[in-house]
Amino acid sequence: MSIADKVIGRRRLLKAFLIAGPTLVVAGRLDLKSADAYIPGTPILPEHQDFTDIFIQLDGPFLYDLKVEMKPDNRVYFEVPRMDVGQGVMTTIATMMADNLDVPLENMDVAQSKAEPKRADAQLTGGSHSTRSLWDPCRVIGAQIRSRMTSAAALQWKLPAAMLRTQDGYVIAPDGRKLSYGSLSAVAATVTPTEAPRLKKPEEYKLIGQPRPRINARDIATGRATYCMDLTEVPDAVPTIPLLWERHGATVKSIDNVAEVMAMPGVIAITPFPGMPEMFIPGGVAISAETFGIAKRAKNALKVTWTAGPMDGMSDPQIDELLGKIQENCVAPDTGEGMIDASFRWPYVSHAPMETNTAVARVTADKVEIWSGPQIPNTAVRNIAKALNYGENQVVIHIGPRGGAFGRSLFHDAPFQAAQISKLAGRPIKLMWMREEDLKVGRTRPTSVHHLRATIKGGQVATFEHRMACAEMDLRHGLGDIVSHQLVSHNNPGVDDYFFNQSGSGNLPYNVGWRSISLQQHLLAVPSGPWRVVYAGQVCTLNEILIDELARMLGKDEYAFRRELLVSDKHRRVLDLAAHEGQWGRPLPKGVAQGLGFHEEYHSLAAYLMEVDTRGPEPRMTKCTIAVDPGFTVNPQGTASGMYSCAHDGFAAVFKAAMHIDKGTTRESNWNDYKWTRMYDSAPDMSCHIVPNTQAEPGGIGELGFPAAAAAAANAWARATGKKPRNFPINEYGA
Amino acid sequence: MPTINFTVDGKPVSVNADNNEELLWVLRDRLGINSVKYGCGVGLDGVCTAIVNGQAVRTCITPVGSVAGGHVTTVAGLSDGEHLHPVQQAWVDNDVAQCGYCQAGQIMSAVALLNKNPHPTDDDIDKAMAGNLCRCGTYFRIRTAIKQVAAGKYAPGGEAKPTAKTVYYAK
Repeated sequence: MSIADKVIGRRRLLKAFLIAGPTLVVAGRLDLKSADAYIPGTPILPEHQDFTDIFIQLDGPFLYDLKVEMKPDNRVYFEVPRMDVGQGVMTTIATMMADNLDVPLENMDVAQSKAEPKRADAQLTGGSHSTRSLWDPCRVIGAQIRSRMTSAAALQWKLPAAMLRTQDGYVIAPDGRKLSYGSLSAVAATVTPTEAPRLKKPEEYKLIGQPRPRINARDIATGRATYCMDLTEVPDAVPTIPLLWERHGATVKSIDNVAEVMAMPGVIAITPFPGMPEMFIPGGVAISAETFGIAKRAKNALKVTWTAGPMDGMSDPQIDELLGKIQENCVAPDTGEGMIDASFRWPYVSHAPMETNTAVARVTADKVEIWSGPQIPNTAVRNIAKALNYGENQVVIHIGPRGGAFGRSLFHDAPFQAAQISKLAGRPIKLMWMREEDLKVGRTRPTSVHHLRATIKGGQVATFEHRMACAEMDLRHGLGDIVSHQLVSHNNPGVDDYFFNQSGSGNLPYNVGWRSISLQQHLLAVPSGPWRVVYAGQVCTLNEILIDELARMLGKDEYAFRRELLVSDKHRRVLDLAAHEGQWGRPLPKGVAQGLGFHEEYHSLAAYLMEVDTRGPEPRMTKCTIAVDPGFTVNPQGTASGMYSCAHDGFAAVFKAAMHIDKGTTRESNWNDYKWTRMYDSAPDMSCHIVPNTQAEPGGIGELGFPAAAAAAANAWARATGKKPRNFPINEYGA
Repeated sequence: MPTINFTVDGKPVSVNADNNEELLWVLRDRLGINSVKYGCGVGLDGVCTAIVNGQAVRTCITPVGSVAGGHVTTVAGLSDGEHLHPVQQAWVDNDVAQCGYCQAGQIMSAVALLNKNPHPTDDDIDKAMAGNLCRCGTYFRIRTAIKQVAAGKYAPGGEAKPTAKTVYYAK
């Protein structure tokens, strides 16, 4: 039962906030002045509270502020205060609203809201909570609008509203007469509802739960989808490329051949810009030209002298040594009945979305206007206003689609730089990082070392410890604000530990006796940030590898051992589904093996059974069977998309991807050396099996699969080769 | 700068550009044709793939002078956008795209493959699609879509199934 159900059982629905206009425009904003307005209450904390629960509870009032406009032509204009970066949330959220309105999906016009500071920190796309956080608001606002529509029709027909029903964008009378929402919209805007809003029950949903392609699938397949650099709204924005530091944290000392480069045909401007070093938003030199191709040539020709950087003496071995020094020790004594004590290392990895960092900016005397896709746009507004000396109300950020994110655009590097460069250059620009800068300077999942120890007593796992030490992951994009409600300006005080413990990384869904999982961090100048599933990507993957190794040490089957230790039947059901559908234990040739991985987060559960063939020059995923309990499924096709996506990310992180730091510089500069899963790595046989709804509301799924997929890949490789995965990626280090 | 003539998606274009300028940037920045995207600039991820005179090429490393007098087809030229090419229809029905940014290139590589080899094996698909990177990991559905087209599941000119309309930037 969701919060809305609980509250509506005893209190009134929140009041719709009517925006003056000729037709019904509802923003489900709370009227806080009204004594009987409903404020979503804080429920009793569940036994395991996910970090994103905190987002949803603290942001409650702002989440109900959804703009829904019922147009006279019976179309519905709906603004979603979230971004679609490939995870499909525009489709799920539009479906949720359409179903709760009783409107056909094809009547919906769906847009992403601009940055709206009134939404405070609730306008955040991340933490796999977009669908979850807007589930109740869509239900409540849909119910309110239906109630207004039936009340408006009741007035016109002089019938009791209770006799009327709604369907496909119409109010229908018992005798079959119909009035469209569009024709009722003007009256509905002022009517006093005569029927109480009624939330739909799960069995009444027609659109929710049905598989459908993403709403812009056709736009994408026909080349009509408009990414940031395809914008035509600012025709005089000139193509601009940033030349950024090679050595992390260095700043521009001098540009040594400006005249020579300016003389290159097609070069328009060379603009040094400071960035925002305290936020690791790099400064550098922006090169504007007639085309990006010319700008890139000019960038390559430009000679820049840089200051020393804070990491110039540091390469991977020094970083590892430093992390080793801050790492806590495992403390459990050897029981003499069995112990695994193992050290692991993950490298830096890039988010490397297919669309590099991009933004269009037009800065004039009284306005900063930006087109881009920052996932936490209101922090971007704050930082840009402050740095450029404008009022926050003068900064407008139009949010468009992004070609992937994986956490990368939680920070606002490109929109910030674009605004700064546009102001300095005195012209509108379209800023695009080249792939080289995007990999060498773009934000990363920080490198980490891990010490794990588990002991056995009486044939059972008695202790389980995990000590992670990592280069500090930057959380100053605004996430901390949600918790502290103040700008966290220095090194994430407390927020990182809180996040670590309250997200999946702090959760181990097995009965393994005494457990302790902890995090130590050290700030380095390599730009970082949350990366899909954040700390759990490293922590829970390794926990799952240890679970496999414990099973083998005890002479048990890896699947049976997990079954025995998992904390509930709900968990076992997901594991069983993967094992059954994937035919756990089926005979395979020597060198090919199955591997299991399990993960719980965002009130969802996932199990992966991956088969890996190690007989060729590099391991290949040959089959992947996925089981998922997402709590409540809005779009099974979209759920499967996210789960398949994580299979490929997990495979890449375990076998292929690494960034190396050489004397303060990231070595990798393009796809030749930064390797990711390709078609020839991907399984020709994949399937995703979704457990029928186990909750009244959806859990999160966008990041859910990663740790289970990565663990399944590593465990399959270990079972195929007899080796122990310790140092990633395996294709580089062997084990 | 010379004037270079060729066709894009069936329409003649004429552009003043240096022969060595990359086709990708001439299309996007000089001709305003945005149905090819930038991914890496060095021909390693296939995001910018178009078909030139029947061959799939990486437009980011193709000098525009080399296509003079030729025919360039981007994903926008495969159909009128309403009645789809079978590969486009297979992409929609299988919900292949996630972020969608690489898919114009994926589709063009798939079309080039199927034009040459109407019944590709898994191995053929691995080889033909090796140069097209997808960070969202849509490979399984790409493979499925290609196999479905090869099996004749989609006739040309399929009608759109109704769905919501995406407004790319809020009013």
